[in-house]
Amino acid sequence: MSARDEILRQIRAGLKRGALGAEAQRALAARLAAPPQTIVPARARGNETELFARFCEMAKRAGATVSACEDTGELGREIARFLGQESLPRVIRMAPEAGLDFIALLKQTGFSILRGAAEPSDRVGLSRALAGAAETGSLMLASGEGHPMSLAFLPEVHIAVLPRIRIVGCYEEAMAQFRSGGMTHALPRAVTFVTGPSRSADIEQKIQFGAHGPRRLHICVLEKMP
Amino acid sequence: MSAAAGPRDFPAAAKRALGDAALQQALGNIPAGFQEKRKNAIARLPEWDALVDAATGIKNHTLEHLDFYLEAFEAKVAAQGGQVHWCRDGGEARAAVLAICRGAKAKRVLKSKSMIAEEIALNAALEEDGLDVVETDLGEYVLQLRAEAPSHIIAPIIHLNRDQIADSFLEAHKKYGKSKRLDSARELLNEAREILREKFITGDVGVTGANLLVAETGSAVIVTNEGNADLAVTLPRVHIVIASIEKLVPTVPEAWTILRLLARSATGQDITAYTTFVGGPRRASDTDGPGAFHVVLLDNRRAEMLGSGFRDMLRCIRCAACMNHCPVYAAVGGHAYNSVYPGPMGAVLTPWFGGIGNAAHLPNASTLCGRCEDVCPMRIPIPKMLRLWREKEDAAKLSSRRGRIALGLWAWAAKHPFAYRLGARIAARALRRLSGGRGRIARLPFGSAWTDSRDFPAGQGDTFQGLYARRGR
Repeated sequence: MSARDEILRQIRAGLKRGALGAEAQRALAARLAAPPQTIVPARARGNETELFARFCEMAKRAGATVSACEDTGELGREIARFLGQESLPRVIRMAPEAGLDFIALLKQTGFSILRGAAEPSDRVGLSRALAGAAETGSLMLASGEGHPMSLAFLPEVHIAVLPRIRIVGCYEEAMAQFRSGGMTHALPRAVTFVTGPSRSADIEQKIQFGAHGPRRLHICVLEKMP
Repeated sequence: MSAAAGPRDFPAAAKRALGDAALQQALGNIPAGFQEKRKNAIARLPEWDALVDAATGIKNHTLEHLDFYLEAFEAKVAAQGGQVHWCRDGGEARAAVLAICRGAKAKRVLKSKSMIAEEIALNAALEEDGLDVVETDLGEYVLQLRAEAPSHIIAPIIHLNRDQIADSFLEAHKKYGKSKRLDSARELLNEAREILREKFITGDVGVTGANLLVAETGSAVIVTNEGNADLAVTLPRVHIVIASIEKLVPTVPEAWTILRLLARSATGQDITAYTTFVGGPRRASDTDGPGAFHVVLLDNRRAEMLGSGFRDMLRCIRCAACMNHCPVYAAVGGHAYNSVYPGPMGAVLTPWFGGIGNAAHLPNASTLCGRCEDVCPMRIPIPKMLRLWREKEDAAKLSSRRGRIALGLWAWAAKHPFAYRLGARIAARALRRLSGGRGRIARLPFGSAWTDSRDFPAGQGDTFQGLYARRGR
C-alpha cells in the first residue's frame, strides 16, 4: 500500500468511518466553494476616512512610517525627502510593472532608477502594494507580472506605494481581488501581508528592526493614482 | 547534555536547571516578554472569545474530514505545478527531502524555522549527505553555531543571554574576519544579517515549515517576523514545505480566523511582520520565485491520534501560549524536558511519540493548575490529557510501586465512607499535633520531598466534613 493510501486509510480508521460517500463529498466541495461566514473584527469596519486613519495608525504602531501624497509630483518630492533623511543615495530598484512608470520620470530630477527583481547590492526597493488592510496596517503584496517579491525583502529599505482607494478593512477584503467569480480564490504564487519592517526579538526578548528583511518600511499613500 | 539524554532524565535535568543562574535570569524575561504582551493584544480585540470558539470549530470540522481536505489540497498543489509527497514517518520525510535536493544537485539548503524539521531531525540527515544546511532564523542560527536544540517552539534561544550569544559569534565568525566581541543585541543582529545575506543569495533549496495549509488554494501559510522565510521561498531554485497533516484548514477566510489568534497568542503582536500564502513554482509571467515547489506531508502517527483520546491535541497551532504561562516551564526552561516539544503541549506529545514508559515524568510534572488550557487559543484540554497519560502509566504499572499502593489505599478509603472519615480525622489531628500549633510543619514523616525545601501547611485539627456538619451546612 502506498504511503498516501495508508495515511488516508488510517485517518478513516481513526475517524471510525470509511471513505466519504458522494453526497458528503459534494457538500464539502460546495463548502470549499462558498465558505461559511467568518468573524471580522469591528476595528476592520468603518467609512473610507476612518479606515484610512486606522490604517495609518496601525502601520505606525507596527514600526512603519506613513506619508500621504496628493499626486505623483508630491510623491516624487516625498521619496526624495525620505531618502535624504535616511542618508541614502538616490538609487532605487523598482518593480518593472507599467503602473509605476510615472515614478521612472523621477530620473529627470536626479534619481537613478533600476527596474526588475532586487539584486543583493540594492539598498532601496520600491513596489506598489495591491491593498492595505486597516485592521492591522498591513500591506498586501503579491508576485506576478511586474511584481517581483524580492523588492520587499532583499533591500534594506522598502518603499511601498499604496493607492488610497486600495485601503480596505480586513485581510479577507484585500484578498477578494483574487476571487475568480464566486467565492473561490485563485492566488498568485506568493501573497504576502507586510506589517511594519522586518524584526527579531530572539535576543533577550527585545525587538530589533531589520532582521533579514528591510530595516525601514516607508508607505506612501497616494491620493490620485495616474 | 549528553546525546543519550531523554525525557527520562527530567528530574535530574530540572534540578540542574533550577540551579543554573544564567538560565534563571533568561527565563525571567518571560512574563514581560510574552504574558503581558499577549494580555494587551487580546484586550485590544473584543472579538477574542468568539474567534477562539470559531477557530476551535474550524479545526474540529477539518479533522472530521481530514481525508477529504488532504486530497483537495493535493489536487490544488498539483494544479499549480507543485508536488505533494506523503510520508508515513520521519524516515520517509527525510528521504523525500534528500531526493529532491539530490535531484536539484543542491549544495546549500536554506532552512526557515520548522518544528517538523526538528521532529524528524532533518538537518542531521541533510548534513550527512554533504549538504550545507543554513538555519536562517536568528535564534535557530545561534543554536546551529552552538550545536544546541531549541528550548522553546517560537523563541528557540530563550534560554540564552546576550553574553553567551556574543561568545558564540566571536568564535564562529572568526572565519569571516570578524574579531570584535559584540555587546549589544543590535550589533549581534547586524553581524548575523551580514553573514546570512551571503548565504541567502547562494542557496539552492529553501526548506520552510508551514503554519497552515489551505485546501481551497493549495497554499502553505508561513508567518515570520524576520522575513527569512520569504527570502527562502523567493531566492532559491527549489522550495520545499515540510508540514504535518493536521496543518490543514479548508479555506482562506478560515485561515484568517486562526491567523488572528496565532500571533496574539504567541508574541502578543496583532499579526507578525510577514504572513505569506505561497503555492506552486514560479508562474510563466512571474519576475522571481523558485522553479519547483514540493510539499512533504508528514503523518508520524497523527492519523492514529485521531482515533485516540488525544485527538484534541491535533488542533494545536504551535503558538506556545501554554509554555509561556506554565509555572513548571518558567522554572526549568525547555531543555529539561529533553524533547522536541517542551512545556504543557510537549508533555502531551512527547509520550505519544516516544512512549509513556520513556516520558512519564512529563505529564506528572504538573500541578494541573490549568493555566495552559485557559490561555490555549484552540481550547485544547491539556490537563485532561495529562491525566489521561497518568492513567495509562498507572494501567501499564509503569508508575512507582509505592505510589500505586498509596493510590490503591486512597481509592479503597474513598469507596468506604466510614473508613474515610475515620482516617481523615486521625490525619487532621496528627497534622495539628505535628505543627505544634504553628500552623505549619517543618518535617513531615514520609513527606521529606516536600518539607526539605518548604513547610507543609497544617490544618486546624478538624476535617472538612466535620466542619461542614458542625456548621449545619
